[in-house]
Amino acid sequence: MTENTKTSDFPILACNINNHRLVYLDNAATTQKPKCVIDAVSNFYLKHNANVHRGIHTLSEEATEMLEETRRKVASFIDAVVPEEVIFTSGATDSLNIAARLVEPKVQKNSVIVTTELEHHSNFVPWQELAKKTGAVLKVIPVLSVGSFDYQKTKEILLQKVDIFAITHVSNVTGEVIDVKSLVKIAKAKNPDCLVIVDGAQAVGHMPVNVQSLDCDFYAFSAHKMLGPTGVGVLWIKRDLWDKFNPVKFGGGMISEVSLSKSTWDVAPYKFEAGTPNIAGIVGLGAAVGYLNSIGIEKIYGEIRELTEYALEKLGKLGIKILGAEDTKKRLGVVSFNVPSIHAHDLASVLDSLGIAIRSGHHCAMPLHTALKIPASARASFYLYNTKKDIDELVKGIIKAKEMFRV
Amino acid sequence: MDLYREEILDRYKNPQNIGDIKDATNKATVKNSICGDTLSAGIRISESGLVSEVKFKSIGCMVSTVSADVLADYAIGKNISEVKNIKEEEVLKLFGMDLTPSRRKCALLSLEVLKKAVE
Repeated sequence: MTENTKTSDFPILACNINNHRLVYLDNAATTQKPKCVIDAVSNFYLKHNANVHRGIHTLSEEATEMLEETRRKVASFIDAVVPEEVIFTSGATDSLNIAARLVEPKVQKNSVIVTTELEHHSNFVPWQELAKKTGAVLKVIPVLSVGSFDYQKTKEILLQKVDIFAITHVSNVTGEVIDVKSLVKIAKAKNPDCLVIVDGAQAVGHMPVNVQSLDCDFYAFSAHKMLGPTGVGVLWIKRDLWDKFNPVKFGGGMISEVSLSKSTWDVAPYKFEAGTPNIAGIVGLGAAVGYLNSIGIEKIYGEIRELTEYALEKLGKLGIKILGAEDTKKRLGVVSFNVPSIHAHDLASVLDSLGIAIRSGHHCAMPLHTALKIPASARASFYLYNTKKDIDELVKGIIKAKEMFRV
Repeated sequence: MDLYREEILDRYKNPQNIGDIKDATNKATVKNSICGDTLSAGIRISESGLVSEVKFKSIGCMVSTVSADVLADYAIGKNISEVKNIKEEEVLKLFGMDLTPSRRKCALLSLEVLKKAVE
């Protein structure tokens, strides 16, 4: 993994930043796009642009087919039962907000909603707001002192009957991969009606994801964290639930019939997709899935794991504080840390001057940072085009920052 | 790199105006929503209405700490309306560095908390 043949598929990686080769390690925020994705978006606007579903003319038929082809590709990529389980949204945040609004009628005063301290704000605030609105009880599972997931505590809470369980698949701060499948089993054994919503933003495209095997009810993710364009996301909704929920967005494309006194809805997935979708972006997502498939998700998963283990090993020797579980096998693609006496923002600025892009701040996970009693952390995150050489550059950069700050 | 040149780092390591004023006449705290850093200011305003002492307290980055430290010196001797009228550009000039837009927010956090304290 010193050389990576995939790197040349990503035009932006040839850029120089501050007179250095770009070392892009901010993949948990967004991934770069391969040329085939950029071309797919551009090609759509150049040759196929039209609105979907309602048109009879040639371009509209083409655009519709391209969108539906992506739906089929995505469904197969996450092992959905049928393509109609895939709802296109504007991103994982949108998906999770829609999920929270869909389940709202099922939530009553004193219903129990459970989420965790590990969550990204997008899988935390919607549930906090839902609890506030409905009078439901929000239980937040605390992390263990190092920032790792507390299975014991979670199990105890799930055995007390939970109505809504919102959980991340992979933490965007610690990279910890959560054993969602076993938790779903516990939650549903206690309450078969428990609705489980999984935030898969850091998982899909990074590891094999099989929604049927997880047995969750909703699964949310973003295209842009798996090589696709921004502005596109997916909410997978289990087929059995389609008729149990009323749409939460109304307008074009989602109706069956509209009269002055009432309206009826189209079938899924359309009843959940009001308005013109980001068609070009969805086509780009289709190209991204095609690219990922051409490499193979198992291979990608193996490579990201290898990079993560290498990074944890190298960073572990620098005398810095790494957040999260010590077991490297439980972590995927994300490493957050603090260098003593250097604020994460300062570290990010020094690294940027060397062409190395990392993230600094709370990474939209304030409850986790509060639990760990730190205002911010630095985060390096890896994807399929990264190499061990990139991680060596990061290590060199951190050493340089320590010299500059005399720590 | 220019941002982390020696004199700035020295000031970061040995700030003059970081700490508490026990009997501050004005106090305020703000949070930088980008990074979660918190910056507090304590000010003493003399009977003649002039700022006589300013102390900041932060767990912030170098940019926010140093800019607060130099801003404190700059504010001393000014009256409340002069403090209210300190412009962002003045603070950036005091800091004397080219900052990217996101780091500019770090540098201007101290001005925000100072103005809040004299409101």
